[in-house]
Amino acid sequence: MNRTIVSSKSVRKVLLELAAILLPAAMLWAAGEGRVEKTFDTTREPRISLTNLKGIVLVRGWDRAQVHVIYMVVSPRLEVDSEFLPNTGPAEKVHFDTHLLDATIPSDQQVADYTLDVPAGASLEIRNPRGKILVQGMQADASLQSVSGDISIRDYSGHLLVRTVAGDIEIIHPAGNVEADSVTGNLHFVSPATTRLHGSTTSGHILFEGDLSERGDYILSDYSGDVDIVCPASASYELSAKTLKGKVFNTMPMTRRRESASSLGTSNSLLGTHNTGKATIELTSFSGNIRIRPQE
Amino acid sequence: MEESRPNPFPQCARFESELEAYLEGETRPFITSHSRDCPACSTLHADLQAIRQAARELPLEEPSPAVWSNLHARLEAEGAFATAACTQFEGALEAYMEGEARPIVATHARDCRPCAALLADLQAIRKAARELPLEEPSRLVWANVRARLEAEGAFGTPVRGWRQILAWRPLPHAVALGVLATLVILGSLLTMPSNEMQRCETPEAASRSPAVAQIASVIPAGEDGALARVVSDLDSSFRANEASMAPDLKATYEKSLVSLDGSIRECLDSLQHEPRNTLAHDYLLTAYTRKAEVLSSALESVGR
Repeated sequence: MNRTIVSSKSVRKVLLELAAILLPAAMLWAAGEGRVEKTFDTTREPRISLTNLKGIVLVRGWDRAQVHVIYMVVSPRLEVDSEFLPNTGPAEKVHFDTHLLDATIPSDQQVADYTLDVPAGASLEIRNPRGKILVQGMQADASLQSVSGDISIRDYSGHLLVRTVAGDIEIIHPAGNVEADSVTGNLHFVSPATTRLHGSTTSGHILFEGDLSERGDYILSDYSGDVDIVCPASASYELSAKTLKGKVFNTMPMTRRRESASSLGTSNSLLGTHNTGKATIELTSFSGNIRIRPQE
Repeated sequence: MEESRPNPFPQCARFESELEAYLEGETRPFITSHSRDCPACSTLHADLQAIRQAARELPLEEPSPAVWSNLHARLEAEGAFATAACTQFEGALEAYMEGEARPIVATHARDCRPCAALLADLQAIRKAARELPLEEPSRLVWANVRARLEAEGAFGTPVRGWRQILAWRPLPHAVALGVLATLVILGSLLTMPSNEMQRCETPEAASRSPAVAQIASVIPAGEDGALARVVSDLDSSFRANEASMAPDLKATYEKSLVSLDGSIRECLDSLQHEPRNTLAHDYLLTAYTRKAEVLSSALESVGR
């Protein structure tokens, strides 16, 4: 019996000692130990890559030849490595990499949030499998990928390659070529000034809002989701809309033409010209509906 | 010989600049995406794949003994075979290139044309190397370096710096690369007329693997069988590795795969009723390709 009492006391003592050590550490951590802020010089057009696990990645373009980064890791068992090349002088390549120091860390603690201000001419390669990616005000090429996170891009004039598995993709005011793909995520394009836009999803919804560029080429493809095009009455385009099992609803005035040897009926296929047909729109769906209507 | 001119189409120029690295096994997503959009580049891509495949299948031919003896005589006449002085030159060359004083090198190079050429080449390479921009090796290189070092027991403690990239597991990565390569080949094959296709991939051949047989039994005979096999193999790898995936990530992939499986089934049903329905066929190929991409992405994330 005595032995048991002694043992319990020992355990309690050890626990108290542990608490005395860990509590200040935890308080320090909570007070911002996981937050890091850095600024460093780069070229005007550096290549910036970032590999994260989970969390929010926000990238903003600015007119300085510098990268300013703030990142915050939720757990001390998570670490961010940063690499700058070359080792001296303005960096031409910058890489951030979040990784686990302990493989048993729970999923909800695998979070690192990043905010980066980078030269507007920087090219980006960002992978954030389980978190959001937000990018704005950039001019060079970008490859942005997530698995379950949403991706939102605003005012981007470079070539965009955007991919998710389940996250939604929103692209506002793009001016360069756009390729956006998802499996179950929705695609939303707003006021693109681009001349080439390809969007594809399997079961998400596609919404395109805005005017069309002259000689613009817009290809949107869905499998089971609906495709909505909302553009001003002044837009000028050639349209090809086909859905195998859904229907095409059009409320824009069109000069229709018939496709030879098409097996599709008039309710699920529409070919024609609106105004003078300066842009080209190709819309396809397997079982979703396609709607084309004017902006109000 | 025709002088090369800059390509007036920026996307095609980029395609050309990345193609070599892609063919050497580097990950270049732009190549496949651009090939889908540009018929000219797609054809070039398919041609190069076909040439590479044909070159691999060529028999090894040994030149006749007369060729070797002529070659030897010619090289001997040009002083290509090392003399004792050449051996001395070679022995001193490394130190000379590192800045040490080795008078034999300069002296011998004045008298021996092959050694002079070697010295000039090394100096030119050194000069060019100094002028090269700093290029980061591809992820594949890092992954291979990492795998090799790990195999040699170089890492006793957790590794920092580039760890995420370096920690790519060789198996999923190899699978992913294999898939991409297979998709490229399939892309070329699928553009062939179906009668040529059937020469390459008969239904009997496709049904050798039980997993393929299961899928091939419900799809039209011909080109889709090969793609179905790729997807089936990937699916098996995914199932074998899914236990080590993060649960939330796994759930996302599973949901997407269910969606894609649904679309594959629906397309197959449509094609059974209307075998010439090109839209259904296009969607079927897209669904298979996308499923392969999703599985490939999932395999890359295994263990992360």
